[in-house]
Amino acid sequence: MVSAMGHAETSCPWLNNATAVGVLGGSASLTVQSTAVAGESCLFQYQKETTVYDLQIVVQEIDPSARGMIPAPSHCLSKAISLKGIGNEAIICAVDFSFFHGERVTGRVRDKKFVVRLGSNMKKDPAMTDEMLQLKAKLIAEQVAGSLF
Amino acid sequence: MMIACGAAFSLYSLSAFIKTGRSQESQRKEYSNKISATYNYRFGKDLPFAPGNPKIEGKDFIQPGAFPDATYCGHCHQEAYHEWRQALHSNSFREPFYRTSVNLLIKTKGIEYSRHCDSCHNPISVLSGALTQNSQVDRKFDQSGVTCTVCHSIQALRSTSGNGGYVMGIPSVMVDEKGNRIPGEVPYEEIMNHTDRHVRAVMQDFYRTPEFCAACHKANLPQQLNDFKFISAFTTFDEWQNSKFSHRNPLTFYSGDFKTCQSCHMMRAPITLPDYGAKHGTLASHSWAAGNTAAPFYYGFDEQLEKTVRFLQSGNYLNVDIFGLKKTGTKNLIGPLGSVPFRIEPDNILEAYVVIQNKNIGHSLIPEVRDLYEAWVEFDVKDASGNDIYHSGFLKPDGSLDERAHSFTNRPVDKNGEFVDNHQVQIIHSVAYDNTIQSGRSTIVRYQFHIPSDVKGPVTLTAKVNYRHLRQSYLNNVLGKDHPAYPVVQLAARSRTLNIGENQPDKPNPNDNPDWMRWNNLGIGYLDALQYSDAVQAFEKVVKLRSDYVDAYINIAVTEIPWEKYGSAWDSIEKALSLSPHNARALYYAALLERRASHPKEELNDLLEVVSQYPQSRDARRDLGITYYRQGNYHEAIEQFEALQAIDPDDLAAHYNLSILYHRMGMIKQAKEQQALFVTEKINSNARTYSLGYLRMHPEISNESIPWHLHTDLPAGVESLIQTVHK
Repeated sequence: MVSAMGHAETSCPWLNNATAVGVLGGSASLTVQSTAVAGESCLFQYQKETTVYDLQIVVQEIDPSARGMIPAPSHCLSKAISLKGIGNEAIICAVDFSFFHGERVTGRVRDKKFVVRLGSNMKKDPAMTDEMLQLKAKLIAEQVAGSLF
Repeated sequence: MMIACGAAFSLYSLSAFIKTGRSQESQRKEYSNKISATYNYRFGKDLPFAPGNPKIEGKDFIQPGAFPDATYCGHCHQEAYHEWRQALHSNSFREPFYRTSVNLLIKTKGIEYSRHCDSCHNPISVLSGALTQNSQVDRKFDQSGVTCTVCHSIQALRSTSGNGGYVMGIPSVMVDEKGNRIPGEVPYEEIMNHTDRHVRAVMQDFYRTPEFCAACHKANLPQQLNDFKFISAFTTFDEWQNSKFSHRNPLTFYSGDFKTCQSCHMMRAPITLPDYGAKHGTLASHSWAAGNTAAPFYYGFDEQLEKTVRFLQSGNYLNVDIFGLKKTGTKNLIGPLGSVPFRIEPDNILEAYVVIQNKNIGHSLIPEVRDLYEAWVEFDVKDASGNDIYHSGFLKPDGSLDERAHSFTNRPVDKNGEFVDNHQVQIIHSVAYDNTIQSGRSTIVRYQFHIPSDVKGPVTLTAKVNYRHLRQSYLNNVLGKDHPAYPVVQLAARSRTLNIGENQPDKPNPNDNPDWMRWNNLGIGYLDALQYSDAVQAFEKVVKLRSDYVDAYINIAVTEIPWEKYGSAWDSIEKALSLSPHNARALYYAALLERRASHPKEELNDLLEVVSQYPQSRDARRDLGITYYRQGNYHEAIEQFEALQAIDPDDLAAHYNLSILYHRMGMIKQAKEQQALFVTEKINSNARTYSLGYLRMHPEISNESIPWHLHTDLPAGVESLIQTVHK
């Protein structure tokens, strides 16, 4: 997949491939995208048999007039939990779509909003329990926030 | 039979670990070769960790996984783990106040330069070769910063130059029967069966010394980092060494019990969680409570924050003394307040003399990065209704500090004379202003204010020393302006209420210094502000109050030597030596006076005695070296300057003199090395130009940069105007 806006990247600006591999559990492909509307994103994917593990990172500039405002969480399966020490106003919650089940962290560093989504297409994956997903999503969110400072 | 089986099991297990160790060795080689293939060796193949100073046993890069995770240690050391997790050491890399500045370095110069900072902030990243372009090292260790097996794997110290001056061993938690280190994790059961071998693997005697802390609590900016020249950054270890707590310096103003960094920052405390490292229910604190309130506030580590605030407000570290008042137009200093009667009237213009003593801190106030940390004096004068008559050192509504506050901060500047914001140390060329109080010394802060003509009732003067871990503009740069207010801690304070009219002596507060010490501190403050005449008068008051106090006489001499009053300085030294014939401080200054008077034999004998009492005194070694050199005893001179270099590898006098001495002895290679070090480390002669550019644009800092300055809101010449009106 190539960026809608232009150039294809071989590395993610906020996370190196090895760290993504460590979280996903195996060698991952990387897709980097950049659009004016959706911001920049990285998608690491690792497939093990029929299970596809996704780690997606999205970083967007916040409209200066809405600075400090993070949109209310949507698609949260569980109650959003506030996270300390991962940028500003970070929250984590479980998300569930027909094709994706996992955890999502949303937060802000100054005028940039970030979203980290980690999960797979398999519900109740014994290889990646909810607790593990949460821990790993927080670890990645911390890496992303750290690189945005 | 049971014992034999146990022993057999144990031998089998250990041999398995040793085999594992061997395979780790080959894994390391393989890993290192892979990293080396794409590693950026910008600073030379032989300096893979430069601009940092660390080394690692075996030289190869090491796999991050060779460092057992802190949770592994936390299994048996729950208290230490719990404390460490909230402490700065564990958050040394990930916390945003560090990341912001290191990210700027990475973005502007390249990730390889961050090895300078991360040698201490994230040693695993440096030693594993992760700090290179397009690194393929899993960075999950980032969240553990200086983890347990970083400190507890250090096998030696390189020097006391800092910048990560340690030699890392291969992390091991046990040694075998022969004392060989077994790399990596071992089952807890093995450790429990051989706790002595565990201790031998993870503890070293030097971990308890200040030199261990110096590996990272001293730093310089080397040419490799700034493409300019060596600039000393901070010298906390040296400050301790020069303090009364080290017992290595005979020239301190006061004496005290021997204390190390660990004595204050790793005090033993009762454990609240099980920990096999505890002795008699207490453990050396792994919270390292010090000054950082920002990181625990950011992470919501309330326990660490509470410990930090408690630490900062304990220990009688600072003494604040509203020593005296001077009525404008008079020369007489009324003081010490509380001990002398005096009278003030409405419409008086008064100068308050506030003396702040760094009484029990083993380093400067505030140590290390004073461009980010902010301590300042808040001084206010209020009338009986609590209305401000004068206020200096307030926080403005936007959280920033009153620009004219007396602060213990600095202003590094770049080659354009601009303030180096965001701690971009790589572009620092000079320091326009650097205000602090060194350990054991005092400073005088003067405030001028007008008592209103219609004032009713008493007025109250309050002086506080406040501290916040990061100045507001840096917090704004890191977090954006919409962050919550970060903690401000009051370190010390003193108030005095003055009647309009007569004031009689009153009882001192429990924390007040005795009057002789108040005069002594005033004298030290005058001396450091180059007010020699006033300093001598203050020390003479000490002599009157305590004629047995040897240091009072020495202090007079210490003041008179730079004032070039050598004759009376000698009289004071003689008096001191008559009271205390082997007083090293007096002997040192006696030697300086003897040198001036061309009495080389006496000069030499006195310095030899000082060195015999204080073999680690920088000043005595330096001057003894000079004495030998002047007398043509080059071998002995070299011995002294080499000893000085062992104390401080960056001593300029040692570099300079050794370069000449080695040359005279035909040691050309060594002479060249020392000459190069001197040229690199000496203060850049253009530095002042950069500083002046900044000071011209910032008159409020320019005023602060002058040692003897006055804080006032009154316009210039107001004193004579009021006097004219009165007449």
